[in-house]
Amino acid sequence: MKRILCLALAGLALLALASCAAGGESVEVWRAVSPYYLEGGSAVRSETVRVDAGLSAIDAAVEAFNTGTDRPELRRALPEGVDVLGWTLDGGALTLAVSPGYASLAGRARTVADCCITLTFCAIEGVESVSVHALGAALSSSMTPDGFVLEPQAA
Amino acid sequence: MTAAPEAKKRRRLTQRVQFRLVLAFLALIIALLALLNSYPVAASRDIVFSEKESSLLEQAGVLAASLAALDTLSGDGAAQVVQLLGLTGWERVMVTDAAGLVLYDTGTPSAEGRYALFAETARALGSERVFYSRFSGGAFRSSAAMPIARDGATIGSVYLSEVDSGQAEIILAFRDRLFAVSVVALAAAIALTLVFTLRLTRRITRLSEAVRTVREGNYAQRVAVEGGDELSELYADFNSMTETLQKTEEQRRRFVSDASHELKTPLASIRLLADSILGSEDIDPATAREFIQDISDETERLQRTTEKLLDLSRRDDGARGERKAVDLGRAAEATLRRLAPLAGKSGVDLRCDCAPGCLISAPEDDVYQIVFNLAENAVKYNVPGGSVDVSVRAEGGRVLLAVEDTGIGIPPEDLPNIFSRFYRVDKARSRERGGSGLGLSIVHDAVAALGGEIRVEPGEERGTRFTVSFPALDGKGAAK
Repeated sequence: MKRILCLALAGLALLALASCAAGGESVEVWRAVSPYYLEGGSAVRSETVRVDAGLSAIDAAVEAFNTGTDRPELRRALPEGVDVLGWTLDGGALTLAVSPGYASLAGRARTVADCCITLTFCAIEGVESVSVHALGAALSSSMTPDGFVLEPQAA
Repeated sequence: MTAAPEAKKRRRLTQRVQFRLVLAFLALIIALLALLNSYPVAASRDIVFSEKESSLLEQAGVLAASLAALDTLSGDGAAQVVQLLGLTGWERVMVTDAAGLVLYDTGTPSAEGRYALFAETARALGSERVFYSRFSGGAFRSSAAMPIARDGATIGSVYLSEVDSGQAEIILAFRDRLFAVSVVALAAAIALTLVFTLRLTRRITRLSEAVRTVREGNYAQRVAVEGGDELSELYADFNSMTETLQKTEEQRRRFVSDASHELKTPLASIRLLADSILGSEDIDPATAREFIQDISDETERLQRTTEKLLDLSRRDDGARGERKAVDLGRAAEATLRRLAPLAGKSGVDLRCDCAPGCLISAPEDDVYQIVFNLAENAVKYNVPGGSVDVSVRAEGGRVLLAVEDTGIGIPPEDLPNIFSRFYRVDKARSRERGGSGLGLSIVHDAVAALGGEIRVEPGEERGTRFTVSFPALDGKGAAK
């Protein structure tokens, strides 16, 4: 009986350690829905990503946005090699510096990337609009969540 | 005797046959009604879905082709085309450019100037034709999207949506009506099932009660047979069984009574004679000797009766002697030689016409019993100057033994009973001639045990003729 009790306590201790190790900050990041899973609803969807604690909200969002996803129905909004590199906040206007490859995005892919960036970063307190720059040139300006309609009923 | 009714009282509802039958019927009926309620509605919905798909995609295709023909894809141009095509009956018509920017939208509020990220527009911009439809909230909600393609490139998309409550109402009304009919049908089915199962279980209960009555010893119990179903057949079988039981019981009682009587009569005589000897002090030796001779005769009769009863009892228990090949002709001749003194004393001519080589498979003692009893009866119940003809012959794979006498004969009404135990045609004469009423019973049982048959019929002129047929045995010892 004592042996079982000891094993149970050891298991609990391991669980506690594991939960401490998994500690961090949760950030809601918007992703593109993989074409195979586009069955009604929206072409973008959010997921929660955990990043290191101690980062500012925007840095945490940048780190989370740049990471990939394990969920098969979602994919990263930016293509491989294109990342958010930096940011500046002026009042409520957030300017994101991105890799030059962003400029090559066009059509629906560009709209999806803009939408995911806007919805992810405008969710941060104090951010009202998002602009995207690459090599100092503005690629998208002052985007807000109102500029996107995710579902027919939401229009 | 009271255990069964108590058990009946203790039986729970779920243990009753009626409950189980009702449950099974109800499960079946409910399953059928569920199918009846769901399948037609689902099939109707599928038909409407198919119709919507065809209609929406066709309209979207026309709109996309018309927009592709414009020099520039713009909101105004799209509005004109929609007006021109008369696409005003749709819930929503939306046109986007290649990036998903809404150029034209009839939705409320309008999404013009915003980017549409619906799954439909996203897939249409990926050059797919898209159709979705669902039935919810009392309406068919359908949407279709299609790319606007020019020179092999997608320059935008069209999106059409429709909410159709008219067809939905028809299907819902149909569903409600089906449901109402189903409720009525279910109620009728429950009522019919209850009536039907009650009738069925009542019949089973009647039979069960009759079985209990028989178990308590009332073999006269019968159940009225109605109809021609399996239960009626069971009733008829039950009646037949109780009839057999009743007959057997009557035979058993009669046998006990007859046996007691047969044993009591000689015993009474013996006692009377013994008392006479003991009560007469000056009885002369000749009279005493005569009385003692009578006692001896009665004792012999008692012995014969008990031996025959024991023989019948052994046969009833299935005791069989060892079978061997027996030449029936020779056995008959040997048996008749033993009867010759009795025949001579009775003035009866005993004749034998026995063919040689008529082999049968039987215990020798049984063959002797059969021939002896038949021939002895033929001599005993004959008339002085009469004759007994015994013949043995082979015929068609059988060996036939015939014993015919010229005696007093057997009345036709007695013929069916002569093989019953203690049955006598003429009781007084039979006892007088030393008959026990068991000889023909022994013959009958022995013949049956050997796979044979016995037939009795009046003689050609008078008397009686017994014919016994046995399976013949070939020379190698196998029955033919």
